[in-house]
Amino acid sequence: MYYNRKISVLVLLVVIIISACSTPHHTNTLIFGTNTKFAIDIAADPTGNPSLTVGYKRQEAVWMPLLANKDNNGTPNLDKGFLFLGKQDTQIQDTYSVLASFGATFSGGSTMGIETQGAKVSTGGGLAQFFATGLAARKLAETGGSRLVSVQPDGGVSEEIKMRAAELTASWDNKISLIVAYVQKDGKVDQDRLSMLLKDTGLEASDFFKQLPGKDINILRDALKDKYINNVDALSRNIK
Amino acid sequence: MSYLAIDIFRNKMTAETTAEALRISGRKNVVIKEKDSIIVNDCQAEPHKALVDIETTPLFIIISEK
Repeated sequence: MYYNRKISVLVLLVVIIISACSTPHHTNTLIFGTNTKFAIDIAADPTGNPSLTVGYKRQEAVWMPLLANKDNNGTPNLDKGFLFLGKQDTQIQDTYSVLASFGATFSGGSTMGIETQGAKVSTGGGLAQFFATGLAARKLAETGGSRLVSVQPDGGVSEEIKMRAAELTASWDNKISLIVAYVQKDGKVDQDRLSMLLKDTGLEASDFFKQLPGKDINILRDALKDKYINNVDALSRNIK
Repeated sequence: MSYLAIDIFRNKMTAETTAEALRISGRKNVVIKEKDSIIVNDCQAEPHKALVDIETTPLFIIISEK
């Protein structure tokens, strides 16, 4: 009994001594675990109305290294030579990239009376979840992360629509090139050409376009590719 | 996060095609909302597309992250 108590005190002292050592700037260990249980129960009552019960249980645990981006003096610590680092190109860096996703769709239905003639009722739903860190999280945020694990990732887009969309995108690119060629003069936006371009497009009163004459043509190009892309068709019709 | 009405269509396929093209072009969170009518006070759509439904056919409105 005496020895047991002595050992306990010794162990306690060792733990205290170890924990009193200097705190590391960061740890390289990342542990992630997820456990998802998903169950559905679909049934139809005698009136034909379907009922759908969803059971969903999720457990998640993560031990995440928090990179010490700055020391106590506020000096960036990125030159400390971390062993593991997510990198994109040479400038963008972040902690480890982890991505875990889970998605499910469920539906049910029933027909009253004769199958081909009876009233049909149906119900359904879906769920999606994801966990992301580092560059994976950044990418998800940039590209609308929910679509990645959405139960309808492409909004139910068919191949035909994808093909038409690709054609439309190519058409926009072509029209943007034409617009830029029409409006530019020595790499700058020409005021007279811009006025002709904006006629009857509803953009004449836009502050952006009012301030555009004389500015770098690439400002217009970038705006057409982004904020004003849905105006490209109307603008291109004014090219004489 | 704020959203913006990008365009309004009467034809569903045209709306879906445009929405997908916008996604390809890098627009974030592009979705289509089906509405019976809409009153447009301020949007980037061409003036003639700022429709209020008068034929009781649904309108397909593309919205996106601003």
